This record gives sequence, structure tokens and C-alpha cells, in this order.
Amino acid sequence: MKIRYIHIILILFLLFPFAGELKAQIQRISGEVYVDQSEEDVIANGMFQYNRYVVVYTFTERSDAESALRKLQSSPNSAINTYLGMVKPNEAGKFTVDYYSIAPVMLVWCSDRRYESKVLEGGIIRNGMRINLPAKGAADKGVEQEDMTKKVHELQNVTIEEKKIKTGTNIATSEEEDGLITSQVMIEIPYPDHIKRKNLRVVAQPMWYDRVDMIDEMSDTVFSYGRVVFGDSDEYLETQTRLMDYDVMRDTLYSYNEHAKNHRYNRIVRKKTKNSADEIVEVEDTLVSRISFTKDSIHIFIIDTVSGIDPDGSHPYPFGAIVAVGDYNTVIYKDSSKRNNGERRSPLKFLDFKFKEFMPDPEDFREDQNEELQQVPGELHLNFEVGKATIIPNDSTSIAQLEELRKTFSSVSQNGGSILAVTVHGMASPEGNLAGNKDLARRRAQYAINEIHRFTNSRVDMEEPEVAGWNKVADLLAADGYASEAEAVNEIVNKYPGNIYAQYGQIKNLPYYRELIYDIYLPKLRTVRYSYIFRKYDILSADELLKRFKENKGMVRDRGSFFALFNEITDKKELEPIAKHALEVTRNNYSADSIYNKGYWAYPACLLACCYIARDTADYNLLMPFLDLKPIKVWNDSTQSYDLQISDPEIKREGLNESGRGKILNYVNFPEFAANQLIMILNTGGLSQYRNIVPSLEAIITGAIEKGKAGMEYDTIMAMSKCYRGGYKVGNISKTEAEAAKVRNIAASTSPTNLVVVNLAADEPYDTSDDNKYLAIAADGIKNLPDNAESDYLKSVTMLRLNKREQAELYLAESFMKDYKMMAYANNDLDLMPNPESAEDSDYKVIYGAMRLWKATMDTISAGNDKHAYTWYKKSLEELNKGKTSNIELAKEHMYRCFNLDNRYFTILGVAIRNDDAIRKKKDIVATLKEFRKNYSSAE
Amino acid sequence: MIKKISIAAFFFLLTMQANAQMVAVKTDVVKDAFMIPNIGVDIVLGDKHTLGADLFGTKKIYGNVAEIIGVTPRYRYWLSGRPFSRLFVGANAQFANYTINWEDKSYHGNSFAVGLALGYSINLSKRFNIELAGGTDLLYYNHKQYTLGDIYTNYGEEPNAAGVILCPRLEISVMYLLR
Repeated sequence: MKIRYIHIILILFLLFPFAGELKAQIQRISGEVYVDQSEEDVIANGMFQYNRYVVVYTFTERSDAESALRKLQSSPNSAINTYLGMVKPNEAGKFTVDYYSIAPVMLVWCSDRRYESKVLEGGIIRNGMRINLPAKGAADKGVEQEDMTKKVHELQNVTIEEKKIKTGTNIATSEEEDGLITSQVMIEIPYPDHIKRKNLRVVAQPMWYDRVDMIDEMSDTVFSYGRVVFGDSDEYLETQTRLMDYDVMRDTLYSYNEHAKNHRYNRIVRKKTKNSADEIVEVEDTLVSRISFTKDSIHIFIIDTVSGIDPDGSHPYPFGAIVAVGDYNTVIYKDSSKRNNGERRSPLKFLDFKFKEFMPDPEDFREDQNEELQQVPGELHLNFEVGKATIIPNDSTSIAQLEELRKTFSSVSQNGGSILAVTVHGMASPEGNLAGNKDLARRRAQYAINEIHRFTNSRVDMEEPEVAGWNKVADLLAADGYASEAEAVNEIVNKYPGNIYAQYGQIKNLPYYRELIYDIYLPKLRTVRYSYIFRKYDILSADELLKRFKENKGMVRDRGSFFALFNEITDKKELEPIAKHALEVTRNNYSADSIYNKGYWAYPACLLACCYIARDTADYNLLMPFLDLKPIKVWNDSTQSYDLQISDPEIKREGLNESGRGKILNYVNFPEFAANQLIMILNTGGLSQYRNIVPSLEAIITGAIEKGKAGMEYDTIMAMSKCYRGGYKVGNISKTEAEAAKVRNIAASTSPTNLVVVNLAADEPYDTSDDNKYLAIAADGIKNLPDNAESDYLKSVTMLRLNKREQAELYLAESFMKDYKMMAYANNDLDLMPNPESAEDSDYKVIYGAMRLWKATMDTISAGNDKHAYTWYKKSLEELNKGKTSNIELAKEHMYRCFNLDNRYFTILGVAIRNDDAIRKKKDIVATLKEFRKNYSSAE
Repeated sequence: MIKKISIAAFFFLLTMQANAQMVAVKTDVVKDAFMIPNIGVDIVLGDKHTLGADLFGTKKIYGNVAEIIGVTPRYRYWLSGRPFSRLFVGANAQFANYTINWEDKSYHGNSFAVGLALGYSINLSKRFNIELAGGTDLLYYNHKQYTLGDIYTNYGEEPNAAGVILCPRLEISVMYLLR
């Protein structure tokens, strides 16, 4: 009996672990990225890995999502800053995105300029994150408690620092921290007593509010949601890690940032400061955020950009955030903030420098010309008569195609080659009788063979003719954007597999069969393809190669020939098409050689990048296959931060022979490649989009310099790149004062303007702890500035810092006279506002005085001239000041006349409404003028 | 038959990966101090719920014959909202079979107990916790009681003593999180 009891007890105990399971529900979006067949191998080979991401955006309205999608499709590089995360599709193109957002509608977009154009409905979800933002949870929990905390512990210190806005582009960077930043917002939440505990998770949802234009107050309409920012305190992180089976990335919230793990250096940092109570746990993503739990408060740094919407600073977007703090159980504190009115400080906005390209060293890429057989594919699009093997008589397309064929063949023999064989492959469209169609395809191929025999005596072979399947029709439809039609055709094909007649019978009944399929797409399938193999006997000179290239670029196909051409041609305009062709041809030619070598040849890619840089354009993806940007983080004890290490520059070879020259697989991390990539990014305003890879690019160059593979010539680009990112003062970019000084000195040496800009940026306004040494250099430097509006603007900023307000106003007014755009800058520039700490200055701005001076000057210039817009601007304001209804109508007429004479006054009026003393304090006049502008712009 | 089932269950346990996301093993050092080796398993059922059981047994306690085997299933509700962290309240049961010689008496039978507990779990490191729990159990026993040296069969087949007592429970457990 005893044994029996023991067994019962054992069974109970052993079966017990299966009594239940933890249910961890994670919501996912999943889908598939459309992959073009010709690209499949490239993707499988990882050549486009950097580019192949699915980006998830959120919108509050479906219509917004759809209009954003249209915008993205028309301009793939346009940035919409509401994206939540990126994931890389797997080899089959499938992906899932774990997401968290307060926004209910999602859009999935693949960033490779091909779209899985789906607008997905999504609801508020509960997942790894245990705090729900406003929609539920917090809102219905203890309103009383919330009000109480709000009163005492409002969010504090919301400031936006934006360091560079470059006219006409989306570039905007900050000097703060590791500098990969466009704007940085710091929110400080002092611990209310009841949340002073260790198990906290903080979540912030950044938002940008809409502001109709430069004059209007902020609206409550959310323009855009930023990425959710989050952070866990020490204990929370520890228990959360346990909960996620020791891989915190299983937490949806963390995995939502998973892309950062690989491609940005996202990290969880624990730092013990001297005072152990000050323990800081940070979850850091250089792109997004940092949250620190310090002794007295929680600090939230939100780092993001509103790129592409405020190119000239005239359309500021006020920033706000909803912040929630929760423990394991519930949201215990929630608040929202909308503090910034769009004013920002951007000292680097006038920093300018156009970098020159770095030409690769030809010796690294030497290839010899070989005598070899070359196979060139081609396609003839002859318009055959329906059901016949003869072309439509006098059809201009067919005649031109045959003429082209003749030229191609004759150029081969003229260039010292000889055609060894031609292969022809006929194809017929699928409608009608299969055997008949096959025969037709054969007869059409025969027709092409007869034509080819007119141009060459070489052997011409015929491949088995083919009747195109209906799925080919579907492919053509899909390629032209008829997605639903293509789907319908595919559905029929799949319904009757192998039965082409049944398929035809069904497809024939489709409503668009006649006008779309029969008239447009079936003729496209009645083609003849051909390819020819030719032998090239001789080693040609560059001139001969160039001649050959111009006559028939298909004849120049091997790396050796291209190499000879590249060595000879220095003119970038001439070089560009050759490099492009080389890239294309080597990609196709070498695809069978090795799985590693599918894709581009490095040398022409770098040359092409140089050509692009020379004409001030960029292709950010061009050099990415040759850059191994995955950094290794190495903790540096002396600087208490991570250093990035990137794999060294090397030529990857296989099958090394005795002379050490094996087949080249790829070129990785050459400094020229990294520098050109960096230059393309900096020159064309790609910093906001590609800021994540900039540290890695810099690390490549630094590594090359340390190993002696790169020299002094890289100093400038390195310094300027660091400068753009805030390296002109000690921080995460420049770890020591010596480094910062080097950055400043090099940047300052590039131009008098840059000297002033850099020193103004390094100077802390209203802080005299540095003895104003940078300000002194800037003040000295303004003498050498060129005569333009930007210079006057910089002079104005300098004078304000020196507390010479009259001069500051004077310079700013001069700047306005030279370029009215400066008004838009000045409108929101914190650099032109006095010390915000000083209460007596609360109603002073340089721009007020400058507007007065500008008006006085304009009075003199226009002096009653009816053709001058200012005259009417002034008259309009005078009428308004009289204040009667009849005057308002007249004022409106005058103002419109002014706008019609010079449409810049539309902007000027906007600035004046906020900054002209004669207007800004008169509420009724402001309202009327706003009305004018609104009516005028809507009438426009 | 029951033996076969228990063996099958044992192998089932070995071959199958537990699906639960958090599984911890632990031992109560108070029982250990009383020479009652014990091992427990706890699994997480949700944000606030864990289920666990201890298996304990002994042959001798400080030289006295005390053949005990028992199982203590328990449920815990974590007030903190996070399993194995901070404050919890719990309910537990206990089922034991025993033969105990105490002074000149011998007790042979079964007991069943139910009780409530309150406790606190401290995270020591990534995987170790210390758990303090106290509570009260209502214990029902049903055994055959006889004087040592007597002939056992003289006392008959059936248990001759039963009762209910209130006993305190104190546990200080060291816990290791397996996954």
C-alpha cells in the first residue's frame, strides 16, 4: 500500500509541469516582398541586403496611409518619419513585423523601390510591452491620480536642438551625443513619490503636430508619430529578460527595434556611477532614444527627425510626446506635452562644403584583356501578322529592328571579331491551337534565320520553338501594374494546370481580354530571341575599345577591356556610361562563376560613384555591396564608451595560385569606397536617411589610416563628417578636446564661412565658462566673410552673442535685403533670440529690430514706386490700421496686388505677422492678415 | 499498472520540452535543515500566476526512523504583477505518507493539508532568487498508531487515529530559474 501511494505522488509530481503554459501573444504583420525573378539570385546572395527592408509606417487614417504610399511610390527616397520599424525579409522574401503603436492603421512598404503596397488595418494591441498608451489602460485608470501628478510633475525641459538645415534638402543634424541625430528632445520627469521604485518601464510616443504655416499657432492635429521610445529600469529589465527566456529581443518592444541590433548599434548599457543610488540603465538606440533612470528623475532623450517637411525652416512642426510610466502591473503615471513651438537652434545650417570624389587606385583592380569567346544575347521584336510567319509589310518597327541587327553583326566583323554561331529561338502567343502555334513559332524562327543569313554567313541554329504559357501574359500584366488582372489570369492558369485550352476558354471571357490581353500583350509574345557568340582575337588599344563601345557597346564585355578603357578616360561624363555598362555586363557575365561573385564588379561601381559625385548626385546603394558595415563594439575603458571596429580593407580571393593572384571574389571596405559613400551621403543631403551607417564608414577610413592603407587626403572628409555630426566639441564623436580641436581646425580651414560657423557652434551662448574663446575667433573671422546674405546672418548671430544688439539688427536687416529667405530662417532660429533664462528679454528678438530696419530701407527704395510690391504692402497695412470695414477690403486688394507683383511677399507677410512690431500685437490685424494669406493661398 | 504509468510519465517528462516560458527549481532550506531533502518545481502560468509543487521525503531525522514521502502542490498570485518577483500570496496543499517512530510510539498513515501563505521573492541575480514564505496549514491526518514492540497486526487493518491540527508553515527557498 505504501508503494502505491509513493507512485501516485510521483505521478502527480512529474505530470505537474504540463499543467499549463504561459501564453505570450505577440501580434504580427506578415507578408511577402515581391521579388523580381531576375533579382532573385542577387537577393539570395545578399547583395541587396542592406536595402531590403520592410518598413512599417503608421497613420491615423487610412487615407493618410494611402496618400503617403503614393508619395513613396513617386519618390522612393522621400522620408516619412512615422516609420516604426524595419525587418529584413527572409530568403523567400517573407517577413513578419512585430509592431507596437498607438496608431491604428499600418502601411507596409518595402524600401527597395518595389512595394508590397498594402495598407493594413491594425488595432491597438497588447504584446510584450505591458503599457498601453492613451487608447486604453491608462486613460481609464485613476483619473484622480493622473490629475494629481500632472500638477506637480509636468514634463519639463522640452527643447529641440536642430543643428543643420540645408536649403532644398532634407539634411538636418545635431551636435548632440553621438550626433547621428537630427533633433534631440529631452524630457525630464522628476519621480513623483509614488513612482520612485525600481521596477519601471517608460514608454514615450513622440508626436509632431501640424502647423499650417509659419504664422499659425500650433494645432492639435498630429502630423506624424515618431518611433516609440522606451526604457526599462534595472529590475524591470532583469525580470523582463527572465520572462523572455533570457533573450530580451523576444520582447516585442525590443524586437521592434531589432533592426537596430544589427545595423545600428543599439545596446543596453548598465553604468554604475560613483554614487550607487545613481545607477543608470539605458536602452539605447542611436537612432531613437535613450532613457536614463537617475536618482531624482527619469530622463528621456528622443532623437528623431522630421525630415523632408521643413527644408527652409519656414514650416516648423511643434513637438510633443505622450509619456507613460508603468510598473509590472499598470500605468502609474501618464502625461503629455506639447511644449516646443518649432523654434530651434541650428548653428551648422550655413556650414557648407562640397567634397570631391576619391578615385580608386587602378592597381588594386588590374585586369588583363583576354582573348576569349563572348556570348551576346539579343531580342528581335518583329511584328508578325496574326497566324502567319511573315512580318506586317512596311511595319516601321520591324524594319528598324532588322536594321539594328544588321548593324550589330557588321560591327562585330569591323571590330576584328568573328561571329561563330547564332542561335534563334522563336515564340508564339498561347491563344488557339497548340500544335499550330508551335509550328507557327518554328516558321517565325525560320523567317528570322533567313533574315540573319542576309547579314552573316555564320552557322545559325534554331532552338526548340516555344508557345508562351498564359502565365507569361500574367507576368507581363503584373510588370505593367495590372495586378488584379494578372491575378485573375494566374488564378485561371492554376485552376486548369497544364490544360492550355481550358485556360484559353476562361481567359477569353475576361472583360478586358480584347482591349488589354489580345491587343497589347499577346503581340508582345510573338517574338524571336537570338544570341550570338563571337571570338575576339586581338588586344585592343583604349581608343579602339572606345570606338567599338560607341558603335556597339555589346562588343565590349570583358573586365580587361573595361580596365583599359577606365585607365584612359578621365572625363567623368564619358566615363559614366562605360562604368554603368561595365557594371551591368560584369554582373550578368560572371553570375555563373561563383556564388560570391554574382553581382557587381567593384571597380566600375566605385568609378560610377565618382562620376555621380562629380555631377552632384548620388546612388546610395551602389557601393553598399562592397562595404561590410557590421561593427564590432569594443568597450573602451578610458573613454567609457564603445569603439566601433570594422573589418579591414581586403580583397577577397579564392583559389590563390603561386603568384598570389586567385580569382577575385570581392573588394571589401576599401577606404575609397567608404569615403565615396560618405561623400554621396553628405553632398546630397542623405545624412538623415543614412546616418546610421556613417559611424561605420568613418570606422573603415580610420582603420585604413591606422593600417597605413589611407593617408592625409582623408583628413578633410573625416573632419567634416564628424563636424556635421557634432564632433567640433567634446562628446561621443570627438572624445577628447584634441580630437574636437582637430575637427574644428580642419573644418575652419576649408572656408572663412566655415570658420565662423564652426566656432559659433562650439561657443555656448550665454555661458562664459570657456572665456568665450570660440566666440572671439568667430568675431575675428567675420571680417573675412564673403559679401552675401548668409554672411550677414552669421554676423548678426555673432553680434547678438557679443551683446551688440543694434549691430545684430542691422546685419540681419542687411541679410534680409540680400535674400528674403533669411527671414524664414530668422523666424524660428533660437540663435537670434536672447537668453531664454532672462525674464526681461522675454519680448526681445533680433528679428523685431531687423524688420523695422528692413521696412525703413524698403520705404526708401520703393519711394512711391507703383511697380514695387513693397509700396502696396505698405499701403495695405496703412489701410488696415484705419480699421474700418471698407478699409479692410481695400487693404486686401492692395495686399493681393503686392503678392501678384512679387510672390515672395507671401512669405514676408507670414514672418511680419509674428515679428513686425506694427502688426504682431494687434490681434484683429493679425487675424485679418492671416485671413488674407489663407484666402490667397487657397485661390492660388 | 501504476508503476508503469509513473515510469511512462517520467520518460515523457524527459523527452518533451516544457512549453512554459519560465520554469524554476528550488529547495526549501528549512526542510533541508530538518533532514528532509526536497525539491520543487514552479512554472509560470501568466503575468501573475505560478503553479508549483515540492516533492519531499526522508528515511531518518536525526537518528529517528521517519519514512516520509509527500508532495506539496501550490498556487501563487504575484501582487507585483511579475512572477518570481516581490510580494505574493499563495494557497497550498500537501499530501504525505509516513511512518514515524517517535519515542516509544510509531505512526503509520497519510496526511492531507491545505493552507494559505504570504511571501516575498528577492531577485539575487539573473537566475537565482531567495524566497521567503510563511503561512498556516490545516492538516488532516489518518494513521495507525501503536507502541513500539507491540505486534503490529494486533492493531487491525484500519487506521486507528485521525484528527485535524493547525500547523505553521515557514519556508526559506533558494530558487534557480531553468528557463
